[in-house]
Amino acid sequence: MHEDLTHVRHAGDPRTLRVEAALRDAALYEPVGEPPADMVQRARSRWARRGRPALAWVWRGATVTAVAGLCLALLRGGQGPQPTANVTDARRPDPPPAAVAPALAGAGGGEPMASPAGPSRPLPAVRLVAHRPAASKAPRRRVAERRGSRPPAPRGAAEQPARPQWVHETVQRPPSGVLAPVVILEQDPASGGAQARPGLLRILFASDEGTMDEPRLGFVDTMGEEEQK
Amino acid sequence: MGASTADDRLEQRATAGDADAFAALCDRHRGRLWRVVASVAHGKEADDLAQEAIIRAFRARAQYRGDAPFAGWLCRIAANVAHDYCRSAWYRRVTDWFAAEAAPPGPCLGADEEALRNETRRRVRREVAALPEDLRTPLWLHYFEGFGISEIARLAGRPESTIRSRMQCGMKRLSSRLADWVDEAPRPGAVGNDARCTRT
Repeated sequence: MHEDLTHVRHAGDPRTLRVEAALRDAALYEPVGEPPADMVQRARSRWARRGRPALAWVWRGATVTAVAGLCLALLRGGQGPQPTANVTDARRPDPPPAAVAPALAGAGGGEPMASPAGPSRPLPAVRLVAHRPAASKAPRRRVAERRGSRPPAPRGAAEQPARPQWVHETVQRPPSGVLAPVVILEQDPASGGAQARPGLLRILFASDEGTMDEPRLGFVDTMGEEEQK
Repeated sequence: MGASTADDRLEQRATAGDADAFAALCDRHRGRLWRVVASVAHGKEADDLAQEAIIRAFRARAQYRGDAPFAGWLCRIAANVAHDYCRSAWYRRVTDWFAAEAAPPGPCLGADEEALRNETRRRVRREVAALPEDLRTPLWLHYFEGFGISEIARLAGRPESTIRSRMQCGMKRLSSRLADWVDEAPRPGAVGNDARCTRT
Protein backbone atom coordinates (compact mmCIF):
# COMPACT_ATOMS: atom_id res chain seq x y z
CA MET A 1 0.00 0.00 0.00
CA HIS A 2 2.70 2.46 0.90
CA GLU A 3 5.65 3.13 -1.28
CA ASP A 4 9.12 3.05 0.09
CA LEU A 5 9.86 6.55 1.25
CA THR A 6 13.42 5.89 2.34
CA HIS A 7 14.56 8.45 -0.18
CA VAL A 8 12.14 10.92 1.33
CA ARG A 9 12.98 10.61 4.96
CA HIS A 10 16.42 10.92 6.36
CA ALA A 11 17.52 7.33 6.51
CA GLY A 12 18.05 6.21 10.04
CA ASP A 13 16.56 9.30 11.66
CA PRO A 14 14.72 7.72 14.58
CA ARG A 15 12.32 10.62 15.08
CA THR A 16 11.16 10.58 11.49
CA LEU A 17 10.86 6.83 11.59
CA ARG A 18 8.64 7.06 14.65
CA VAL A 19 6.49 9.66 13.01
CA GLU A 20 6.11 7.47 9.99
CA ALA A 21 5.19 4.55 12.22
CA ALA A 22 2.58 6.73 13.87
CA LEU A 23 1.20 7.71 10.48
CA ARG A 24 0.95 4.10 9.37
CA ASP A 25 -0.74 3.19 12.61
CA ALA A 26 -3.14 6.13 12.32
CA ALA A 27 -4.24 4.79 8.95
CA LEU A 28 -5.93 2.01 10.90
CA TYR A 29 -8.16 4.49 12.69
CA GLU A 30 -11.74 3.31 13.08
CA PRO A 31 -14.13 6.21 13.31
CA VAL A 32 -16.88 6.19 15.89
CA GLY A 33 -20.24 5.69 14.23
CA GLU A 34 -21.24 5.23 10.65
CA PRO A 35 -21.62 7.88 7.98
CA PRO A 36 -25.28 8.90 7.80
CA ALA A 37 -26.97 7.22 4.87
CA ASP A 38 -28.57 10.46 3.73
CA MET A 39 -25.44 12.55 4.16
CA VAL A 40 -25.00 13.26 0.48
CA GLN A 41 -28.69 13.87 -0.03
CA ARG A 42 -28.79 16.46 2.71
CA ALA A 43 -25.68 18.15 1.40
CA ARG A 44 -27.29 18.16 -1.99
CA SER A 45 -30.42 19.82 -0.68
CA ARG A 46 -28.18 22.49 0.77
CA TRP A 47 -26.40 23.25 -2.44
CA ALA A 48 -29.67 23.18 -4.35
CA ARG A 49 -31.03 25.92 -2.15
CA ARG A 50 -28.18 28.29 -2.79
CA GLY A 51 -29.22 31.44 -4.48
CA ARG A 52 -32.95 30.99 -4.09
CA PRO A 53 -34.48 34.25 -2.97
CA ALA A 54 -36.27 34.02 0.33
CA LEU A 55 -37.11 35.95 3.41
CA ALA A 56 -36.66 35.01 7.01
CA TRP A 57 -38.43 36.80 9.79
CA VAL A 58 -37.42 36.00 13.30
CA TRP A 59 -40.44 36.44 15.48
CA ARG A 60 -41.28 36.17 19.12
CA GLY A 61 -40.10 33.32 21.22
CA ALA A 62 -36.45 33.32 20.32
CA THR A 63 -34.00 34.55 22.87
CA VAL A 64 -32.08 37.67 22.10
CA THR A 65 -28.82 35.79 22.00
CA ALA A 66 -30.27 33.21 19.67
CA VAL A 67 -31.33 35.97 17.36
CA ALA A 68 -27.88 37.46 17.60
CA GLY A 69 -26.36 34.16 16.55
CA LEU A 70 -28.88 33.81 13.78
CA CYS A 71 -28.05 37.26 12.55
CA LEU A 72 -24.40 36.40 12.37
CA ALA A 73 -25.15 33.21 10.54
CA LEU A 74 -27.36 34.96 8.06
CA LEU A 75 -24.96 37.80 7.58
CA ARG A 76 -22.20 35.39 6.82
CA GLY A 77 -24.33 33.14 4.73
CA GLY A 78 -26.03 35.76 2.66
CA GLN A 79 -25.29 35.44 -1.01
CA GLY A 80 -26.73 36.93 -4.08
CA PRO A 81 -27.54 40.49 -4.96
CA GLN A 82 -30.92 41.02 -3.38
CA PRO A 83 -31.41 41.62 0.34
CA THR A 84 -34.41 39.49 1.10
CA ALA A 85 -34.43 38.69 4.77
CA ASN A 86 -34.90 40.53 7.96
CA VAL A 87 -34.38 39.70 11.59
CA THR A 88 -35.72 41.67 14.50
CA ASP A 89 -35.44 41.40 18.19
CA ALA A 90 -37.46 38.47 19.39
CA ARG A 91 -39.03 40.21 22.36
CA ARG A 92 -39.96 43.45 20.72
CA PRO A 93 -40.36 42.86 17.04
CA ASP A 94 -40.52 45.94 14.90
CA PRO A 95 -43.39 46.21 12.48
CA PRO A 96 -42.74 44.05 9.48
CA PRO A 97 -42.12 45.71 6.15
CA ALA A 98 -45.32 46.55 4.35
CA ALA A 99 -44.46 44.17 1.56
CA VAL A 100 -44.45 41.15 3.83
CA ALA A 101 -47.13 42.15 6.34
CA PRO A 102 -49.99 40.39 4.54
CA ALA A 103 -48.04 37.19 4.39
CA LEU A 104 -47.17 37.46 8.04
CA ALA A 105 -50.80 37.99 8.91
CA GLY A 106 -51.58 34.78 7.11
CA ALA A 107 -49.05 33.00 9.27
CA GLY A 108 -50.45 34.38 12.47
CA GLY A 109 -48.10 37.33 12.50
CA GLY A 110 -47.95 39.32 15.65
CA GLU A 111 -48.59 36.41 17.92
CA PRO A 112 -45.98 34.35 19.67
CA MET A 113 -45.30 31.27 17.68
CA ALA A 114 -45.71 27.80 18.98
CA SER A 115 -42.98 25.38 18.11
CA PRO A 116 -44.08 23.81 14.88
CA ALA A 117 -43.97 20.14 14.32
CA GLY A 118 -44.50 18.84 10.88
CA PRO A 119 -43.06 17.12 7.89
CA SER A 120 -39.66 17.97 6.60
CA ARG A 121 -39.66 21.06 4.51
CA PRO A 122 -36.65 22.63 2.85
CA LEU A 123 -35.35 25.81 4.34
CA PRO A 124 -34.57 28.30 1.63
CA ALA A 125 -31.35 30.11 1.25
CA VAL A 126 -31.62 33.38 3.04
CA ARG A 127 -30.01 36.74 2.97
CA LEU A 128 -30.26 39.09 5.84
CA VAL A 129 -30.63 42.77 6.12
CA ALA A 130 -29.84 43.05 9.77
CA HIS A 131 -31.97 45.39 11.72
CA ARG A 132 -29.52 47.09 14.01
CA PRO A 133 -31.30 49.18 16.60
CA ALA A 134 -29.59 51.72 18.75
CA ALA A 135 -27.55 50.28 21.56
CA SER A 136 -29.42 49.91 24.79
CA LYS A 137 -28.66 51.97 27.82
CA ALA A 138 -29.18 49.01 30.06
CA PRO A 139 -25.59 47.77 29.96
CA ARG A 140 -24.29 51.22 30.78
CA ARG A 141 -26.71 51.37 33.62
CA ARG A 142 -25.54 48.03 34.95
CA VAL A 143 -21.92 49.13 34.68
CA ALA A 144 -22.72 52.32 36.53
CA GLU A 145 -24.44 50.39 39.27
CA ARG A 146 -21.50 48.06 39.58
CA ARG A 147 -19.13 50.96 39.92
CA GLY A 148 -21.38 52.66 42.41
CA SER A 149 -21.86 55.74 40.31
CA ARG A 150 -25.14 57.30 39.34
CA PRO A 151 -26.82 55.58 36.45
CA PRO A 152 -27.65 57.66 33.39
CA ALA A 153 -31.00 59.34 33.58
CA PRO A 154 -33.68 58.30 31.16
CA ARG A 155 -34.36 60.71 28.36
CA GLY A 156 -38.07 61.15 28.95
CA ALA A 157 -40.27 61.31 31.96
CA ALA A 158 -41.15 57.68 31.56
CA GLU A 159 -38.31 55.28 31.18
CA GLN A 160 -37.86 54.06 27.69
CA PRO A 161 -38.58 50.39 27.15
CA ALA A 162 -35.52 48.28 26.80
CA ARG A 163 -34.26 48.33 23.28
CA PRO A 164 -33.04 45.22 21.55
CA GLN A 165 -29.53 44.46 22.57
CA TRP A 166 -28.48 41.77 20.23
CA VAL A 167 -25.98 43.90 18.42
CA HIS A 168 -24.32 44.93 21.64
CA GLU A 169 -20.81 43.70 22.06
CA THR A 170 -21.63 41.99 25.32
CA VAL A 171 -24.00 39.57 23.63
CA GLN A 172 -22.95 36.06 24.44
CA ARG A 173 -22.83 33.27 21.95
CA PRO A 174 -25.86 31.03 22.42
CA PRO A 175 -25.09 27.39 23.01
CA SER A 176 -24.65 25.37 19.90
CA GLY A 177 -27.89 23.73 18.87
CA VAL A 178 -30.18 26.42 20.24
CA LEU A 179 -33.58 26.60 18.58
CA ALA A 180 -34.91 29.87 17.27
CA PRO A 181 -38.56 30.06 16.24
CA VAL A 182 -38.90 31.93 12.98
CA VAL A 183 -41.34 32.69 10.27
CA ILE A 184 -39.82 31.96 6.93
CA LEU A 185 -41.06 34.14 4.14
CA GLU A 186 -40.42 32.64 0.79
CA GLN A 187 -40.83 34.36 -2.48
CA ASP A 188 -43.15 32.43 -4.72
CA PRO A 189 -41.31 32.18 -8.04
CA ALA A 190 -44.58 31.98 -9.93
CA SER A 191 -46.49 34.90 -8.47
CA GLY A 192 -43.62 36.86 -6.99
CA GLY A 193 -45.55 37.19 -3.75
CA ALA A 194 -44.41 36.18 -0.30
CA GLN A 195 -45.45 32.97 1.36
CA ALA A 196 -45.08 32.60 5.10
CA ARG A 197 -44.58 29.47 7.08
CA PRO A 198 -43.38 28.80 10.60
CA GLY A 199 -40.14 27.05 11.30
CA LEU A 200 -37.50 26.45 13.86
CA LEU A 201 -33.89 27.20 13.18
CA ARG A 202 -31.28 25.26 15.03
CA ILE A 203 -28.13 27.28 15.19
CA LEU A 204 -24.92 25.35 15.05
CA PHE A 205 -21.62 26.98 15.72
CA ALA A 206 -18.69 25.46 13.99
CA SER A 207 -16.46 28.06 15.52
CA ASP A 208 -16.63 31.49 16.94
CA GLU A 209 -15.47 33.61 19.78
CA GLY A 210 -18.87 35.01 20.48
CA THR A 211 -17.96 38.24 18.79
CA MET A 212 -19.60 40.00 15.92
CA ASP A 213 -16.61 40.09 13.65
CA GLU A 214 -15.28 36.56 13.73
CA PRO A 215 -18.15 34.19 13.29
CA ARG A 216 -18.16 30.98 11.39
CA LEU A 217 -21.66 29.92 12.05
CA GLY A 218 -24.20 27.59 10.70
CA PHE A 219 -27.81 27.04 11.42
CA VAL A 220 -30.08 24.15 10.81
CA ASP A 221 -33.80 23.83 11.05
CA THR A 222 -35.37 21.11 13.10
CA MET A 223 -36.11 19.05 10.07
CA GLY A 224 -32.46 18.64 9.31
CA GLU A 225 -32.15 21.14 6.53
CA GLU A 226 -29.21 23.34 6.83
CA GLU A 227 -27.70 26.54 5.72
CA GLN A 228 -24.21 27.40 6.75
CA LYS A 229 -21.64 30.09 6.63
CA MET B 1 -12.34 -3.00 -13.24
CA GLY B 2 -16.06 -2.69 -13.74
CA ALA B 3 -16.40 -0.41 -10.77
CA SER B 4 -13.52 1.67 -12.03
CA THR B 5 -15.15 2.07 -15.41
CA ALA B 6 -18.40 3.05 -13.78
CA ASP B 7 -16.51 5.58 -11.67
CA ASP B 8 -14.86 6.97 -14.79
CA ARG B 9 -18.22 7.44 -16.42
CA LEU B 10 -19.59 9.12 -13.35
CA GLU B 11 -16.56 11.38 -13.19
CA GLN B 12 -17.01 12.39 -16.79
CA ARG B 13 -20.64 13.19 -16.22
CA ALA B 14 -19.87 15.02 -12.97
CA THR B 15 -17.21 17.19 -14.56
CA ALA B 16 -19.67 17.95 -17.33
CA GLY B 17 -21.99 19.40 -14.72
CA ASP B 18 -24.28 16.48 -13.95
CA ALA B 19 -25.31 16.98 -10.32
CA ASP B 20 -26.76 13.48 -10.07
CA ALA B 21 -23.47 11.94 -11.12
CA PHE B 22 -21.60 14.13 -8.69
CA ALA B 23 -23.88 13.11 -5.85
CA ALA B 24 -23.51 9.46 -6.80
CA LEU B 25 -19.73 9.81 -6.75
CA CYS B 26 -19.81 11.47 -3.35
CA ASP B 27 -22.07 8.72 -2.09
CA ARG B 28 -19.60 6.08 -3.24
CA HIS B 29 -16.86 7.72 -1.27
CA ARG B 30 -18.84 8.80 1.76
CA GLY B 31 -17.07 6.21 3.92
CA ARG B 32 -13.71 7.82 3.15
CA LEU B 33 -15.19 11.23 3.67
CA TRP B 34 -16.56 10.18 7.01
CA ARG B 35 -13.22 8.85 8.16
CA VAL B 36 -11.58 12.15 7.37
CA VAL B 37 -14.05 14.35 9.24
CA ALA B 38 -14.58 11.86 12.06
CA SER B 39 -10.88 12.20 12.79
CA VAL B 40 -11.52 15.67 14.13
CA ALA B 41 -15.19 15.73 15.12
CA HIS B 42 -17.91 13.51 16.50
CA GLY B 43 -21.60 13.05 15.90
CA LYS B 44 -23.54 15.92 14.43
CA GLU B 45 -20.44 18.02 13.98
CA ALA B 46 -18.81 15.29 11.91
CA ASP B 47 -21.99 15.09 9.86
CA ASP B 48 -21.93 18.83 9.48
CA LEU B 49 -18.31 18.81 8.34
CA ALA B 50 -18.96 16.02 5.87
CA GLN B 51 -21.79 17.98 4.31
CA GLU B 52 -19.62 21.05 4.24
CA ALA B 53 -16.95 19.08 2.39
CA ILE B 54 -19.46 17.82 -0.16
CA ILE B 55 -20.76 21.31 -0.78
CA ARG B 56 -17.27 22.69 -1.16
CA ALA B 57 -16.49 19.91 -3.58
CA PHE B 58 -19.63 20.62 -5.54
CA ARG B 59 -18.79 24.29 -5.78
CA ALA B 60 -15.25 23.49 -6.87
CA ARG B 61 -16.18 20.69 -9.26
CA ALA B 62 -15.04 22.74 -12.22
CA GLN B 63 -11.51 22.64 -10.82
CA TYR B 64 -11.40 18.87 -10.75
CA ARG B 65 -9.15 17.45 -13.40
CA GLY B 66 -10.01 14.01 -14.62
CA ASP B 67 -6.42 12.76 -14.61
CA ALA B 68 -6.31 12.52 -10.81
CA PRO B 69 -8.43 10.19 -8.68
CA PHE B 70 -11.73 11.69 -7.65
CA ALA B 71 -11.54 10.06 -4.22
CA GLY B 72 -8.23 11.77 -3.58
CA TRP B 73 -9.63 15.10 -4.69
CA LEU B 74 -12.63 14.66 -2.43
CA CYS B 75 -10.46 13.60 0.51
CA ARG B 76 -8.25 16.61 0.00
CA ILE B 77 -11.25 18.90 0.28
CA ALA B 78 -12.48 17.02 3.34
CA ALA B 79 -9.04 17.36 4.91
CA ASN B 80 -9.19 21.08 4.23
CA VAL B 81 -12.55 21.25 5.98
CA ALA B 82 -11.10 19.28 8.88
CA HIS B 83 -8.15 21.64 8.94
CA ASP B 84 -10.41 24.68 9.17
CA TYR B 85 -12.30 22.99 11.97
CA CYS B 86 -9.09 22.17 13.86
CA ARG B 87 -7.96 25.77 13.56
CA SER B 88 -11.19 27.19 14.88
CA ALA B 89 -11.49 28.69 18.31
CA TRP B 90 -14.65 26.69 18.88
CA TYR B 91 -12.79 23.46 18.30
CA ARG B 92 -10.01 24.41 20.69
CA ARG B 93 -12.51 25.27 23.36
CA VAL B 94 -14.49 22.07 22.96
CA THR B 95 -11.37 19.93 22.76
CA ASP B 96 -9.97 21.41 25.92
CA TRP B 97 -13.23 20.79 27.67
CA PHE B 98 -13.47 17.22 26.49
CA ALA B 99 -9.86 16.56 27.41
CA ALA B 100 -10.48 17.80 30.91
CA GLU B 101 -13.65 15.76 31.21
CA ALA B 102 -12.31 12.58 29.72
CA ALA B 103 -9.04 12.31 31.54
CA PRO B 104 -9.36 10.05 34.54
CA PRO B 105 -7.88 11.40 37.73
CA GLY B 106 -5.95 8.31 38.69
CA PRO B 107 -3.97 5.48 37.13
CA CYS B 108 -5.38 3.90 33.98
CA LEU B 109 -5.79 0.45 35.39
CA GLY B 110 -8.12 -1.65 33.34
CA ALA B 111 -8.48 0.95 30.62
CA ASP B 112 -9.56 -0.24 27.22
CA GLU B 113 -6.28 -0.37 25.39
CA GLU B 114 -7.87 -0.56 21.99
CA ALA B 115 -9.92 2.54 22.64
CA LEU B 116 -6.82 4.38 23.76
CA ARG B 117 -4.98 3.19 20.73
CA ASN B 118 -7.75 4.46 18.51
CA GLU B 119 -7.66 7.77 20.31
CA THR B 120 -3.93 7.96 19.68
CA ARG B 121 -4.53 7.35 16.01
CA ARG B 122 -7.10 10.07 16.07
CA ARG B 123 -4.66 12.43 17.64
CA VAL B 124 -2.10 11.77 14.93
CA ARG B 125 -4.76 12.38 12.28
CA ARG B 126 -5.78 15.60 13.96
CA GLU B 127 -2.18 16.75 13.96
CA VAL B 128 -1.89 15.99 10.27
CA ALA B 129 -5.16 17.82 9.65
CA ALA B 130 -3.75 20.85 11.42
CA LEU B 131 -0.73 21.08 9.09
CA PRO B 132 -0.64 23.63 6.27
CA GLU B 133 -2.27 22.39 3.13
CA ASP B 134 0.85 21.76 1.06
CA LEU B 135 2.16 19.49 3.82
CA ARG B 136 -1.15 18.06 4.91
CA THR B 137 -2.51 16.77 1.63
CA PRO B 138 0.41 14.52 0.61
CA LEU B 139 0.71 12.99 4.07
CA TRP B 140 -3.00 12.43 4.43
CA LEU B 141 -3.57 10.97 1.01
CA HIS B 142 -0.50 8.79 1.09
CA TYR B 143 -0.62 7.35 4.57
CA PHE B 144 -4.31 7.44 5.41
CA GLU B 145 -5.93 6.95 2.04
CA GLY B 146 -3.30 4.84 0.34
CA PHE B 147 -2.65 6.97 -2.72
CA GLY B 148 0.69 6.75 -4.47
CA ILE B 149 3.13 9.60 -4.86
CA SER B 150 2.44 9.82 -8.57
CA GLU B 151 -1.31 10.09 -8.02
CA ILE B 152 -0.83 12.81 -5.44
CA ALA B 153 1.54 14.62 -7.77
CA ARG B 154 -1.09 14.54 -10.52
CA LEU B 155 -3.72 15.76 -8.11
CA ALA B 156 -1.56 18.64 -6.94
CA GLY B 157 -0.17 19.37 -10.40
CA ARG B 158 3.35 19.21 -9.01
CA PRO B 159 6.39 17.02 -9.70
CA GLU B 160 6.78 13.92 -7.59
CA SER B 161 9.99 15.32 -6.13
CA THR B 162 8.03 18.25 -4.77
CA ILE B 163 5.53 15.94 -3.16
CA ARG B 164 8.30 13.91 -1.54
CA SER B 165 9.92 17.05 -0.29
CA ARG B 166 6.66 18.23 1.21
CA MET B 167 6.10 14.89 2.88
CA GLN B 168 9.54 15.08 4.40
CA CYS B 169 8.85 18.57 5.62
CA GLY B 170 5.47 17.51 6.96
CA MET B 171 6.96 14.64 8.92
CA LYS B 172 9.49 16.98 10.46
CA ARG B 173 6.72 19.29 11.47
CA LEU B 174 4.78 16.39 12.90
CA SER B 175 7.75 15.19 14.89
CA SER B 176 7.75 18.47 16.76
CA ARG B 177 3.99 18.42 17.25
CA LEU B 178 4.14 14.88 18.53
CA ALA B 179 7.33 15.52 20.45
CA ASP B 180 5.97 14.17 23.71
CA TRP B 181 5.44 10.83 22.07
CA VAL B 182 8.29 10.82 19.54
CA ASP B 183 10.89 11.46 22.21
CA GLU B 184 9.57 9.03 24.75
CA ALA B 185 7.02 6.52 23.59
CA PRO B 186 8.41 3.40 22.00
CA ARG B 187 5.19 2.54 20.16
CA PRO B 188 2.30 4.41 18.59
CA GLY B 189 -0.32 3.30 21.09
CA ALA B 190 1.41 4.75 24.08
CA VAL B 191 0.79 8.44 23.75
CA GLY B 192 -2.85 8.55 24.73
CA ASN B 193 -2.23 6.22 27.61
CA ASP B 194 0.64 8.27 28.87
CA ALA B 195 -1.25 11.50 28.54
CA ARG B 196 -4.07 10.20 30.67
CA CYS B 197 -1.98 8.42 33.24
CA THR B 198 0.29 11.35 33.98
CA ARG B 199 -2.60 13.67 34.65
CA THR B 200 -3.37 14.12 38.30
